Amino acid sequence: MAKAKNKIVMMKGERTFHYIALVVMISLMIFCVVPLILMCVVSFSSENSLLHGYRFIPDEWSLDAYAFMWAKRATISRAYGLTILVTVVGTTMSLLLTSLFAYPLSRKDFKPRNTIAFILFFTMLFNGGMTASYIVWSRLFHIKETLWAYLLPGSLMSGMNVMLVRNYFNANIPYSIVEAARIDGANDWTIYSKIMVPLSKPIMTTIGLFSALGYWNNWSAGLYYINNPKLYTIQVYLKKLMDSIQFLRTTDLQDEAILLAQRSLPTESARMAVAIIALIPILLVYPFIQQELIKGMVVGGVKG
Amino acid sequence: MPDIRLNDVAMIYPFQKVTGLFDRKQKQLILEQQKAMPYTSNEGVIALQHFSAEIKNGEFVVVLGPSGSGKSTLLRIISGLERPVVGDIYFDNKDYKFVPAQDRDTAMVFQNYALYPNQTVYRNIAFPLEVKHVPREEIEPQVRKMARMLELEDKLNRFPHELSGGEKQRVAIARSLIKDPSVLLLDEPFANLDPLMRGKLRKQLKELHQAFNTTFIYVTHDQYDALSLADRIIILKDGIMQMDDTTANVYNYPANRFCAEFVGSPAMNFFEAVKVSRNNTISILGREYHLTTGQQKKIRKNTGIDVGIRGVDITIKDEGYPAVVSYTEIIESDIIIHVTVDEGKELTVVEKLNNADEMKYLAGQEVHLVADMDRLHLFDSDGDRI
Repeated sequence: MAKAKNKIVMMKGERTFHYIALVVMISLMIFCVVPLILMCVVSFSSENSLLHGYRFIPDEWSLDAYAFMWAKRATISRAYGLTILVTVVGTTMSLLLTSLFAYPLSRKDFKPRNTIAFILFFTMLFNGGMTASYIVWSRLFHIKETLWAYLLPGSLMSGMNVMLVRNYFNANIPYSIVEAARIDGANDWTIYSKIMVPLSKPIMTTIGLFSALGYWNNWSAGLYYINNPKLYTIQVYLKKLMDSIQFLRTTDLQDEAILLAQRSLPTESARMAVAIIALIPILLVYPFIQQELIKGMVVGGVKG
Repeated sequence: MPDIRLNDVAMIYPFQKVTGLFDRKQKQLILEQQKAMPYTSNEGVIALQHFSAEIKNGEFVVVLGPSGSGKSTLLRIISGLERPVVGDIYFDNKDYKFVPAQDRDTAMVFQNYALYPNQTVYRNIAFPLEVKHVPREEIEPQVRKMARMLELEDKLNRFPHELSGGEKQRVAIARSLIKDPSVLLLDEPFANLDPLMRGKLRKQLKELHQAFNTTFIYVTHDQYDALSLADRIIILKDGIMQMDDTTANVYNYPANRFCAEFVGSPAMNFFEAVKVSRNNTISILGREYHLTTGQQKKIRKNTGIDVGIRGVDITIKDEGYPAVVSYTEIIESDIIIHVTVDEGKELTVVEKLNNADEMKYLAGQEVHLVADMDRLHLFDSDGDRI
């Protein structure tokens, strides 16, 4: 009897929906997880066993890829350090700018807020395009061969994020709290820093994660603006590595020596090993922010 | 501590823009509906108009009115959250129209408490001092003193979501009083509380007013709050001031029919369009009242007058005007007897409740009413007192 009480009673249609949802979710999960597992397996496979394609159970296991990375540890750790630096600084800047932009847009007493919101929205639909952006960033701001190349273009601010934070402020923080703070004598900076930001942890975490992922995975900035190998981040390094392998593969000079060199160097597996290493920090951080992230995803989108 | 003077203040809220998936016809219809509201101009809805008043230092003023009467707008204008469209506001003869909220020495208690949910009770109360950069060692004794006064000493480390409604409102009051404001504005602070807690907080608020000697401006639609707290009551309706007088005068000499009906419970009994005889007398419940010379001058020819009398001013006696009891209600120490006279005219009579009285009046029972003719309230056809 007691057992029956604890059971959730479901209607027939509800149960069907439940099963369908379960199947869809499991399929999606498989789509996400299988490539990851494959990537991991490949990084531990020997180069010979990869000649005929990727396999979940390779003919031969090997640590060559990781040994290769260990040999290259100076370069890789430098790239790793730079990636962390760019991600931390970039995410902090991005969060600060996004929330500082969103705060006045959420204030009812800020008259031009609708005009500014429209301009912001406009940038979500149209932008200058790659060539124009490249010229502006390199000629006007001179970011080539500097770390700014990773920080400024692309991930720093997005209209979408500003809108999300503004909507969160509007929908989840009662306006009377802002008014109470004003009457208590707080200026806008105090209201922003002591009330709005601490009260919007979920959306800040979400935006922060998106931004951090953007910075962490950003390889294009390095490709456009960086030639100095000392300024390579891990993703740029990975990209260059892939390009080099591709070059070896496609070149006409397929004589014996190159073939040998190609065989002895862990190419495919090294690619995956670098990808695995690049993935580790995200995998480590994600469980800690998961709850706030889900809250932020759900509430940020409420109210257009 | 300043005196506050409002001079011919008006506030208009622009019509809401109709956006979204409406076609032109629908948009036009919505705009027309807004324009059809009782007090509108071409620019928008008039929330407050021609409002002038002077509030002396240390007074306890209650602004009373139904929903949408403009009372919260008035409070927001005094606090600096809104700037009036026309008119001026002076604090001690200094023009404060353009002084922002944070620079006015006011504090406000909101209906929904407006506590900072991410901060403890202690930090909430300390907030106004923190933003003024008062040293920490000075903040602590002040917070503890306020907490003691409002019985919050054991709640200082809690967060707002761990408090009851009454406790939250006490925190809000403590937060507003800690900076020793020259004016404390209270926007329906007890509206969300149960009657017991309201009574307790009313008493506490009265004590705080005496202790701090600060000007309190209290906005409410609850006449109990108004009558029990105020030194002076301002009654608003549709953004227009109806009356500004002492509590006793508001109850005893309402300026117009709206005030007479709005203040007092149960609502005042009314006899509409009562004819004035040639010798200037009117007849109410079988008794005659002779109009004074002043009253005679004010009445217009050929129009009747509306006569009001409160339930407490009608008594049930052995002899008098016959009436039939419809039903009775017991509210606190009063028994309210609903009776019907003549052809279905309903009146309420209020008597003090004794233990034995509970079953004294039964539905259908015939009783006799005697009205106190010195306590009649006369109003002309426009509703103004005569």
